[in-house]
Amino acid sequence: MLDTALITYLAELSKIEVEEASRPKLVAEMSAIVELMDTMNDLILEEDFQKVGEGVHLNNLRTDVCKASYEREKLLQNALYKKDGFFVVPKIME
Amino acid sequence: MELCDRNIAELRTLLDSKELSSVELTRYYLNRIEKIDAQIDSYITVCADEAIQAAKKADERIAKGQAKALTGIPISIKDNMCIEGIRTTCGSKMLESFIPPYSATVIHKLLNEQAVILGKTSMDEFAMGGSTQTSYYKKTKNPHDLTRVPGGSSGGSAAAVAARLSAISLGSDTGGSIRQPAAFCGITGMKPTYGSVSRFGLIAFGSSLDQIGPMAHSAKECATILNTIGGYDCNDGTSSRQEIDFESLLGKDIKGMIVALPKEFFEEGIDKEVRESVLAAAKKYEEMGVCIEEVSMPSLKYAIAAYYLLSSAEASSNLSRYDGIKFGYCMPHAKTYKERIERTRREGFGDEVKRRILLGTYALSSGYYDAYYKKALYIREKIKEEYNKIFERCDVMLTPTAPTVAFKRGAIENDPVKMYLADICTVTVNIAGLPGISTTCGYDKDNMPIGMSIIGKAFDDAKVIQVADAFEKDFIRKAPSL
Repeated sequence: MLDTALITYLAELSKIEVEEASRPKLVAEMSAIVELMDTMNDLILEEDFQKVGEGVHLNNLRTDVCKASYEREKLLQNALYKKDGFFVVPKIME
Repeated sequence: MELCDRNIAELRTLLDSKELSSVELTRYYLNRIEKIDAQIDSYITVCADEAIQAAKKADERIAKGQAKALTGIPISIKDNMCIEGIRTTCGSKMLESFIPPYSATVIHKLLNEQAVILGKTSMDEFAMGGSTQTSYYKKTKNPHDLTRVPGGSSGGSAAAVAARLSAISLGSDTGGSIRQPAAFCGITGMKPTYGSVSRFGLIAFGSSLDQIGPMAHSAKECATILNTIGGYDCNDGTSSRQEIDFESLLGKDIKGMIVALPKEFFEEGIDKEVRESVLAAAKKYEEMGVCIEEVSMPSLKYAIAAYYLLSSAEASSNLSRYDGIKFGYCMPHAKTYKERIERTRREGFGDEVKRRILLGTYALSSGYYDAYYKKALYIREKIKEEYNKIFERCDVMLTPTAPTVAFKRGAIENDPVKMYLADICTVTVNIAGLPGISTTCGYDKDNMPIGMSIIGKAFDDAKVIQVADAFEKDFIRKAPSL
């Protein structure tokens, strides 16, 4: 069962502000979803469970060649705040 | 016969013989969109000027005798594929004013053939949903019954094709988002083998599951589209070098094939009319000389949980890029970096997207990783093993595409758990990376289309198309009355 504290923690990890008033509703919705995920609990794990994720799957990697990238101005056109060819962000250090 | 009732092969003949120009055909579709789409709400953006310009270029190419399969053919594109210079929203407020600086590989391939892009179709926000009712822009209606959903997340594309507002369309499928709306709207939609069509320029949701595919009036048309958009792409690290000729088995006899019927797909939860219609289709296949064999997929009962954990975990990572800094919605009055990101994401994302991000973060977080994410990966391997075992003996598998026909708008789309459970028939195909096609196999008592899915082993896409095409040849579809 999820609670408000866990939802607050997950929201912080997810970088989504969740208003105090909407937390109880979110707890109820997320609890119902997690209950559905818990149908996996009756799964009998076989010996190979520990090996899951160990295998390395190599993709079709392309040859590493230098080529022109996108124009900087074009990439900046969708940013609300930009200056001298850079993105502008609010202060990170408080 | 109306122009919009002609298939793309017939349109190709008309265009190449100069009985019809691409400009005339494009204007015809733009007029239909203007007249009819207010009822359906299938398009978020209509690119009228760009389409006419593209049609003029197509006519020039046709005049030179250099036409390809899709030259001059009007197509719509789900609004999660980037087109340089055309707003791409992904159905979200987050991307309300996003103009991509580049185009997806599939778009380049279409434009190389001078296909005519009519516009961008509505979808569930970030492709998370099965109803197209979570779109921030257009909540699309089903052309067969405007009080019902078209399915989703590619509901705009499915509705546009069904309502003849584009000849063909491209959708994307992470857990059934091409096949389920195709079933609900009475058209054909295919999720090809993972890696067979480039995902470069497709806005990412669950990268190990996402796949672009065609939505059209027949399996044959799907094959034609796939032969244009498929193939290796160095810009997609998961793109396969294995070449597929999607049209290679069209028209070849299916006699002697073994079709698997997995018993778990026909049990409790599947609507009686849907079950009977798919079983009747199996009977028709038997009459064509196919052997039907009952098989079992015991891990199906864990598929929904595994799918939602894997896709949400991937989504929580993929959607971290929406920070209000580089592109997309930005909450302007933030004093700190943290405030900028957290408020931007609160205001820019809808409720379902937020729920999935939270679920994915939960599954990946310390203390829950083994119990959820790792277990989901384990189930993924089990499902792959079960499919491999089935395809050792059988050529393809036949299942319903969805447990029900299209449901009424407002019926279940506000209940996440009910919506997730409705994906039971489609998610295993994405989990295992297989090709699956949905085609109409019947109609219920209210004349709503019923879809069946044909699933094959990886890279057996041509065989899946061949089996669907064999059924479609003798099946008469009902067009929506609009």
